[in-house]
Amino acid sequence: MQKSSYIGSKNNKMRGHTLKVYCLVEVKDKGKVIYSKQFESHSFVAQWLQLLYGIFGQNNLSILGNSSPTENVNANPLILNAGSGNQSFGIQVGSGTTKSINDTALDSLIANGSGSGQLSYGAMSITSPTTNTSTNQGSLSVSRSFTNNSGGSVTVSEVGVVVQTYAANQNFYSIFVIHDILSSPITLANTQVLTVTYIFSIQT
Amino acid sequence: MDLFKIFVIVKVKNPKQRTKVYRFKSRSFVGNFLTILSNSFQRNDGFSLTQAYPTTGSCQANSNESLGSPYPWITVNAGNGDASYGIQVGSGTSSPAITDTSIESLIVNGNGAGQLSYGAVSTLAPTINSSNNTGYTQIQRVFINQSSASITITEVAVVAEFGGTPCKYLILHDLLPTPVTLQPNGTVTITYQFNIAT
Repeated sequence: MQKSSYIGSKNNKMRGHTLKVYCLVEVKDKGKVIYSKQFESHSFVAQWLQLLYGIFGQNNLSILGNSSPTENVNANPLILNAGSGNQSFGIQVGSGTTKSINDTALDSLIANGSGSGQLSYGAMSITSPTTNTSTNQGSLSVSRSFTNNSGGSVTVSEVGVVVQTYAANQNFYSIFVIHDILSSPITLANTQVLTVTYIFSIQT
Repeated sequence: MDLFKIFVIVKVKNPKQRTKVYRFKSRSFVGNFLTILSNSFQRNDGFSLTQAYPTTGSCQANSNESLGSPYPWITVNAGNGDASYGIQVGSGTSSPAITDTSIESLIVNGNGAGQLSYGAVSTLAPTINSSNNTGYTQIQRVFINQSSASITITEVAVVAEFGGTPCKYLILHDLLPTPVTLQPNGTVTITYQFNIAT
């Protein structure tokens, strides 16, 4: 049997990046931005790969919950347009501080509502892609606002993305795919609004 | 660590030569990919894409179907001999552009001059390493030179299917850092490996 030789990519000087995801967090108080920070998201979780595997090969998946242990996801596996007050998918926020590749949910979800420790979830907003043909760059963004109507302060320390998957059995499933821990927790005073934006960027 | 990396692994086996394996970082999602993401996120009805195959005309994709059976959605599992989607190889040399909608110069399926025999695309289940929070999944295709002359590959691409009457659209396009020449009866295996690090 012949041995393989391995040739690395030392001569691979092509510019660009495959896919980068950035997360922008902004806090507004009475309409004025009082905090803004953007960082590179580092945390697709394992379910993202499983979803890709299901999509690429029309393979049945076992990550859809007990009601349908294996099912084909190829009807639309990447729905994000959650409406106002719907915390079951789209961008979510939480108060947890740990993450791992096997995560299937936020560490500690902050629920939708106006009670103590809750935030009012706005509708998801999704932009059309923009592309720059001179630089071969393109991006699209998804965002969601969270309003503190609780009467007290609420601290956000983690953010995540849950896609809604429409499976071939005509049922919807929520699949957690991105999880980021904020480097500095954000404390929202009553009536303040947090907006979380995920930006998907490519460069060809 | 990068959030999401794609590597292309090229394994070349020519008769009477050592097997060579090249690996390089794919950098070339094209604009179609963002269009698909955006429309899928919003669950939009018909939207236009320029097809990679055939290369003329557009097709209407739909991310709001209500089918009770499997429906292609960035599906790449093309069968034996089907060069219309999945991983493709070509002989073009232009740098990929974000507006690309097809591989520059497709090497078609067959055993005639300048043709390669396309195998079926395999999709490999994810491998997850919980101790270092990394993982990957792969798609793979084998191409055999059954012609009587050498064939040189300079570009690779991924074309996916979408829809009940499937649109076939380009999502990834890469030039090989080093062209690969396949002698008669030589084989090349192209693997796209999608990596994450949490």
